[in-house]
Order: sequence, then C-alpha cells, then structure tokens
Amino acid sequence: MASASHRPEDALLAECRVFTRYLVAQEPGEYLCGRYAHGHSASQAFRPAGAFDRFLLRVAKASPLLALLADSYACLFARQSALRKKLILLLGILESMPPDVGFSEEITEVSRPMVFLKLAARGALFALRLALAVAIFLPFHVLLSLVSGESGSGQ
Amino acid sequence: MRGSRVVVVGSGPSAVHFALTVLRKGYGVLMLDVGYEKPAAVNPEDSFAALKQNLSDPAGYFLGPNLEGLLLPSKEKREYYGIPPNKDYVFRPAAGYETRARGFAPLFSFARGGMAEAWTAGCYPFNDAELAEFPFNYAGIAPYYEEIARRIGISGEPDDLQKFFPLHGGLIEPLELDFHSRELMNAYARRRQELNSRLGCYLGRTRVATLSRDLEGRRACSKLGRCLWGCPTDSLYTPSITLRQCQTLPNFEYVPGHLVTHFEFNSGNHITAVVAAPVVGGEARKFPVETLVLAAGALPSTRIFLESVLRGAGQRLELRGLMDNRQVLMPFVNLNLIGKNYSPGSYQYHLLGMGLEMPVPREYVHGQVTTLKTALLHPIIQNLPCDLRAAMFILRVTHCALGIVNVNFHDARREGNRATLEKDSATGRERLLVHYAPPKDEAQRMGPALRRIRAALWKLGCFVPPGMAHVRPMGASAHYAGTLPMSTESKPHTASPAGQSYDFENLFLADGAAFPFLPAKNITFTLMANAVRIADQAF
Repeated sequence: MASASHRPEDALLAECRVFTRYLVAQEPGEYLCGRYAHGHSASQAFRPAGAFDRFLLRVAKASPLLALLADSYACLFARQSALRKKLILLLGILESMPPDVGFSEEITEVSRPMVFLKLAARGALFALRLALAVAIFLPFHVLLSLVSGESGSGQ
Repeated sequence: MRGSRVVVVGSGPSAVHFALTVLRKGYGVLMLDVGYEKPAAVNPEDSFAALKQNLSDPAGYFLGPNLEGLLLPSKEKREYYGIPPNKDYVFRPAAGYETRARGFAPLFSFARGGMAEAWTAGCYPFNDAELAEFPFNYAGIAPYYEEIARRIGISGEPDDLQKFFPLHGGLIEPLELDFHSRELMNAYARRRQELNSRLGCYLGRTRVATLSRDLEGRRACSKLGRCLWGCPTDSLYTPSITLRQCQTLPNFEYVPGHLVTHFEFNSGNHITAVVAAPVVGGEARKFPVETLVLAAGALPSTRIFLESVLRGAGQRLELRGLMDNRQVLMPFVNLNLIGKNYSPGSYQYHLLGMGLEMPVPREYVHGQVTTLKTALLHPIIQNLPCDLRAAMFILRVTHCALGIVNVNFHDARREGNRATLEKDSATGRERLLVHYAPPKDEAQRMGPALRRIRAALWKLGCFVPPGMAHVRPMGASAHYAGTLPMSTESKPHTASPAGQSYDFENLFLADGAAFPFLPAKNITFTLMANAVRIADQAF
C-alpha cells in the first residue's frame, strides 16, 4: 500500500501546484486541482511514453523554474511529451476559469514600438533559455533514447 | 395529389424547408429522422466571460465533462479549433451506419436539424456562371433565395462582393462589425483600387443567417460571443428552428429515432414503402409511401438509393461525381493591432468575406475572414514555437490582431469520385464506400490563389506566418454533392429539373446529391432555396 505522502493523487496535486505557479504565477484552488486530477483519470494521454519523457517530467515537477526550462526544451524537441500534454491540460482548464483565478488576457495597451520591443525581449530571453535547456536536456535525450532503444520521446 | 402525404427523410436544411413549403400548400408530411436532440442552452443570457464566472464547472462546459474538447499536441496537423463537446450530438454516429472512404474523410450528422446545426451561417447565392450546369439559372432560383432569406433572416448589404453574390430580396441590415473587421474594411477602403485591379481581390460583408434585428420570436444577436458553443438565443439560424415551426402545423408528423435504410419499389419502379430501423434496436418499421423525398444530405441519400437498388433489383450501383469543397485555413496577424485589447462582446464567426476573381467566373475562390474574438486559445498557444509561458504572453498581445481566412475552392463532377456499397466481411452488413481523388491540377490551381490571398492580406497590413496554412482533408467542408444530379436529359441516376428522379417517378431528390456543380461557396443557402423551389414547382 502506498504511504499517504506517495499517493498518486498527492503527486498530481504537487505537480498541479508547480505547473500552475509556472504558467500563471498563482497557487491553484481546489476546483483547478480537482479538474486536473479528473483529466488524468479520464485519459491515458498524460502517461509518459518513454524514459526521457519520464525524466523530463520528473525535472519539471521539481520547481516552476525547472518547469520553464523543461518546457523550453519540450516546445521544440518533445512536443508530444507527457509534460507538454499536462501543461496544455492545465492551460485548457485555466482558460475556462474566471480571469482572476485563471488565464487573464487583459493587457495594458502601450505604443506599438514598445510592444515590439517587449516581444523582442521575450524572444531573446526564450533564446537564452532554449540554449541552456538544450545544453542540459539534449545529452539526456540522446542517451536515454539510445539506452531504451526509443527513436525519441514525444516528437 | 394535394392533401396526400409526402414522406421526407432527414431533418436538415433541405428537409425542413421542403416540408414547410408543402405543408403550407396543404400536403401532409411524415418526416423520418434519427434526430439526436440538442442539449438545453446553459445560462442563455450569459456572455462567454460571464459563463466563466457563473458556472460551477466552467471547464466541464467549455471542454466537456471528461475534457473531451481539449486539443492535445498530436503528430498529425490539427485544426486550429475543435467542435465543442456540447455539439457532440451533431456528429454522434448511428449504430450500424458503417462507411469506408479512400481519399475522403466523410462527416455525417444524425442530429435534429442535421449538420447545419454546427454551421457558421454563411449564405451565398450561386450566380449564373455557377449555375451553368444546373437546369435553371439565377432568375429561376432568385425568388426562393428571397423566400429563405425572409424565413431565416439573413443579414448583409450590397458591397464589392455583390460581384460574386447576386443581390436578392429579403436581406436585413448587416451585423455590427467587430473592431478588427472594421480595421480591415478601413484598410481595404484605402487600398481598394490596387487590390481590385492588381490582385483581383475584393473584400466585403459576408451574408450570414444571424439576426441583426428581432424576427418572429427570435432575438437579434446580443453579441454573447458563444456562437461556437451554440447560439443560446437562436439568433444564429439552425434548421431545428424550422423543424419546430413545422411541428406546430397540424399535417406534420415527426418520427425521430429511426434510421431509414432503403425504400421498396414494385416492378414499375414505383416506390411503395420506406424501411427504417429504430436506433435503439428492434424490428425495422415499414412506412407506406405515396411520394418520397430524400433530403438526408448527399451521402446519406446516396446510401439509401444504393441500398434500395441493391435490395430491390440486385444491382450494386456506383454513383459517380461526388464533390466537396477543398478548404485551406490561412491564419494571419494584423500588424497594426498588435498590443491592443480585443473586444469579447462581438459576434464570434466571420463578418467579412474575400472574393478572388478568376479567369473562368465559375472557378471563383471564396474566403471567409474570421477575426479572433472569444475562443479557447490552447489549440493556438501550443502551436507557437516557444514555451507556454512565452506563448501565453505572445497570444495576449496578439489576440486582437489574429484572424483566419477559410479559403474555399470549387469542385466539379468527375467520374472517378464515386460512392458504392460493399459488404463488410466482419459484420456481413452493407457499408458505404467512398472514393475521392482531387483534380490533377489542384496544386497548380490552389498555389497561385493562395499567393494572391497572402499578398492581399499583406496590403491590408496583415502577415501570414510561413508554414501555418492548413490544407484541410477532403470531406472536412461537409459540402457534399453531385451523386444524383439534376439534368434536363432523362438519364439513369439523375433527376429532372424539378428534382424528380428519372429512375423512380415518385421519388424526389431535394438535397445536395442533385447538384451538378459545386462552387466555392457554402451550399446550405442554395440547398434550402432549391428544396423550396422543388416543393413549389413539383407539388
């Protein structure tokens, strides 16, 4: 029998908390956690498909910052990974909820050059994150794929 | 004949408008249908944003009880949006209705009101060039377009697209444009001359079966932003509204829960009965027929025809000439609107249309321009090539600037595209087999047109991200037609100009199966008008 701290629902709750903090910088409420867990019970799609998939998920679950790094890698090199699917499940639930507890689309309108500047800054930051994520995850991706004989996780 | 009973198969746009017309002429109508029902509207007064606040389980509403509406990353190229779970009833299959298709992904609807319960309400009359292969011209169908416009309420106005859509009577004033659509029209006004003369591209209002003012108990669009989830106020027309109208008339009998499999005929090719299987199982029922009208949609009607001939005459026919519109989804970003807030209080579907003039007028290319307003964004966000947090930021600042052109191409009848029946070795039952191959010159035809649309969007201040255009599979448009076409010449497996089968004298074909050509336009409006024309001229 699993101990209380290792029950699957507790693991999902912890994961939901980390991923919500990563996506919207908030603590998830009871409804969001319940829906997130229900999504997992309703579909097998969120199960990791291979060794690297499991590794990526384990790293991402550790903290919002690592979730960001793992997602930066997965968005280009593991698009169908369990991590991406879980994050999109969470995003789907968040965007169905009121904006104050979910995903707000309200923006402060600024001049067009400022918008493009902000977009460029975000792009540059993403490029840096991506470089770091590739340096960290690519060796594991290759190694785990070779060891487990997989052609690549989640691509 | 007046006062006798007509058996109508199906409850889609053709069926209900045919039925209403003959009912008003004093005929009785028995309508046989599977007829899955639409769920009741949830909080009908709430806007898209208010639903998120007021529902106890908003994700259950927007994504489905088991989050079936969630679009997860997939190896296959996906649509940019999905049919929401509360419209599942529209595409719910009927037990025992098997099909197999090559080069075609057919969609079927057994809903009360048919596939048009999930349409986006575009109403585009065919012009003389597009009707050249029909046994009537525009003048022959114009009064029926007007009749349909008065029945269902079509908003629109004369503008540059009138070049492609004849102006018929019965239009009501257009819906209010959303901010982005207005900006596009302003940009078009500035570059109109250049777009028209250099690119042969025209922009204008789409005509939509959505009310801009109250009509016969239906309310004008209150801009709740919930069109995709089903208009809760019936402002956006669907055929189930006309079905309800038929049900108030004394000579109308609606029998849901029955899947018509075939009709029976005697040695003189006179149809004597129609046979329908209860969808809950049990013995098939036989309904006597004086006059039978097939209006179940082109492919279901084709299947009934094929099975009837197989059972009655032992012939395994092939019906040729199946058509469907190829559609290409072309997303764009309006560079002038990046960084602006979008207005959620808008009609959600397309308000603008884009027409491309072609050297051969009937090969006109039509685009429906939908600007992004209320929507679930996770299908878009996950496609951006960056982490989700950055993608959410990008979408926030570009939401107001995003749009999509749904580009439609015409289709013509070709011998190789056909429907037949085959025995399913696993079940022993007959199933519909569809073969489809696009025309050999499709790429040469589509490429230049898409480049012109891209160039036109650029001139309107919009950028089409490379690699984002999505060519939808054949079958996705659900504009099926052409298997039992109308013809002035009496030939097997065709119908007279009045829709009367040349094979069975008491059979009428009132749906898309009888169309001899398919322009690049949503056919629902013409389906309805043609059904009324047949009901008016043959009954």
